[in-house]
Formats: sequence, structure tokens, C-alpha cells
Amino acid sequence: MAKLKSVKQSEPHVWKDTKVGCVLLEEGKAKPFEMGQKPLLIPVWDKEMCVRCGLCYIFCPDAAIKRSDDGYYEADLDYCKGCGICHRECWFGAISMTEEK
Amino acid sequence: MDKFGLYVPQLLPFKEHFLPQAHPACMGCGVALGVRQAYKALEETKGWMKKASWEIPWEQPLPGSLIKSKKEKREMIRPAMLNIEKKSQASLLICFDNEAVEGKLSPTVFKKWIPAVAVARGLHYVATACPSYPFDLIDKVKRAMECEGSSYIHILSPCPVGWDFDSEFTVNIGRYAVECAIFPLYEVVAGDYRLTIDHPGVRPVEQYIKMQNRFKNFKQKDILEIQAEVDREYAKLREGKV
Repeated sequence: MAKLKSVKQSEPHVWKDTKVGCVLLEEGKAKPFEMGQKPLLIPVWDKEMCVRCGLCYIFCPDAAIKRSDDGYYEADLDYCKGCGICHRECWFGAISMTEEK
Repeated sequence: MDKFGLYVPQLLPFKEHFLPQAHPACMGCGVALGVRQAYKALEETKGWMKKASWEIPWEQPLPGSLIKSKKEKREMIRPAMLNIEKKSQASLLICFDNEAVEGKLSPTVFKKWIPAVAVARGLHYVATACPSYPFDLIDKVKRAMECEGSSYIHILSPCPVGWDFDSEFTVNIGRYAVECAIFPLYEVVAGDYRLTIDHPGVRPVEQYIKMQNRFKNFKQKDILEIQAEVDREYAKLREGKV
């Protein structure tokens, strides 16, 4: 399930932390959520077959595929949900869905 | 696809405005894919809200497709359409159509075609798009933002849960919908229809219908009926007489 990054880093929020008048100093937002629920299958790139075209990057609904410095693409497993679109759309069959170790 | 077409994704801006953290959509969601691609077309302006998850101001979402027979459901389109007509400022209305408000699936009832409604309402730019053709979609959103008046874009977004298919086929099914001419991609500028993607050989509709389990109650007779309807509509579109 989704975890709150801020909760992980700091101690849990108790009643003593509440400001006077219950004022909220930070707005509520969904940014700190990690929505990737551990996928059953994760995409793995075969670097010999990959031509660095970027089709997997443009078709990822979760924006989880990022370009690394050497031009190859890799998945950010915090956000990957394991849908398999990249595996289906790769022209060269460079992406295989494998079980997470 | 030629070599240039294959490498084009690298020319798009790599910055993500639609944050992956912000959406709890199912895996392989077509709506999330459409939103993400549409955001790539929009450049940063003063209206952006940096701290929000969706960095751009947006209004209420519009429910998906509408059915002819039910009166209450037909009215759903009106608030959003009236809203953008009343505004003095030009705005862009995007409908992500996952065909969820269909009710009972029946081959004889076709969904209400909202782009035709938008054309009749006199919006300046009306287009249909599909996330399976990302560059076409991005071009259309850009053109809609450039035009002076209000504009409307209808985006087909396949839904793996509602349409009952495997999540890895989301992009594939969108492509089949366009190639079968069941969801033609076109744009309307000042009443002139123009097909943006026109496949010379149109696939039979049966291939699209057989891919989804939601149509498993359809018989061969129904499929022929749909094929006839689709052919008639597409011939009209090709000639530009709609």
C-alpha cells in the first residue's frame, strides 16, 4: 500500500505537535505518496537489444521510466505498477517482465 | 514507422508535470497516460501551481461517454459545455472517454458522439485523439491552446478493468480502435473536418471487438451491424461531409 515519505522520515504526529488553534502550516497534497504497490513483475532491459529509442518512456502511464545518463532507460520501482505496456510496445523485444528477486 | 519516427520520443521535454506520485490509478490506465501526454504539450505559464500535485489549474472532470436512451445521463455534458461557453476567457475542455457510463451494453445503441455536439455548439477547435498516437495528441493539445476561442478535445482512454482485457494491451487496443475506424482521429477547424490519421486499409471491426471481454455477449449478426454503421460514418468523414 501507499506509504507516506514524510511519515517514514520523521516521528509520528501526536497531539502535542498540533499548533494552537489547530492551524495547518502546510497544505495537504499527494506529492509525498509512493503509489507503486510492489509489482509482481518488473521490467528488465536487455542492453544489447535496446536501441535507446524511448518508446517505453512515452507509453508509460505512471511516468516511472526515466532516462539515465548513458542514454538507456530504466524503471523507477517506487512508481512502477508492473502493467507491462513497455514490454508489449518495445519494437525490439528488449524488455522482459521478470519476477522481482 | 521510419527511423526518425522511432527516435522522436527523445525530442519531447523530459520534465514531468503530471507527477507519478499523484495518481492512484490502476495499472495500465489509459486516462493517466492521456493526461501525462497532454501535459507535455503545455508550457509553463504564470497560472501554474507549483506545490499542487497537478501543477496546472483544472476544473471538474467530465463523466465519460453518454448514452442516447437515458435522459438524466444525457444531461451530464451540459454543465461543462455551458461553463466554457459562458466564460469570457478561452478555455480548453478535455474529455477522457473510457466508455464507462454505457449502462447495459447493447449493440444497437451507439454512444452519444460528443465531438459532434461540440461542433454544433460552435467551439473554435474540436478534435479527437488517442494516447496510442502520442505525437498526434500532443500536436492537437498545442493547437487547441494556440487557438483564440474555446476548444474541445475528446480522448479515447482504454480501461483495462472496465473493458476487461490484460493491462499490457492498453496502447494496442487504442491503436486497433483507430485502425478499425471505430474511433477516427480528426480535427475540426471552423467546421471543416480533416482526418489526421487515415489508414489506407481499414481493419474489420471484429478484431477490435474480440479483444475485449465486455463484448462477449455480441453475436455475429451484431458485429455485422456495427461494421455497416462504422463504414457509413467513416465514408462520410473521408469526404468531409458530416
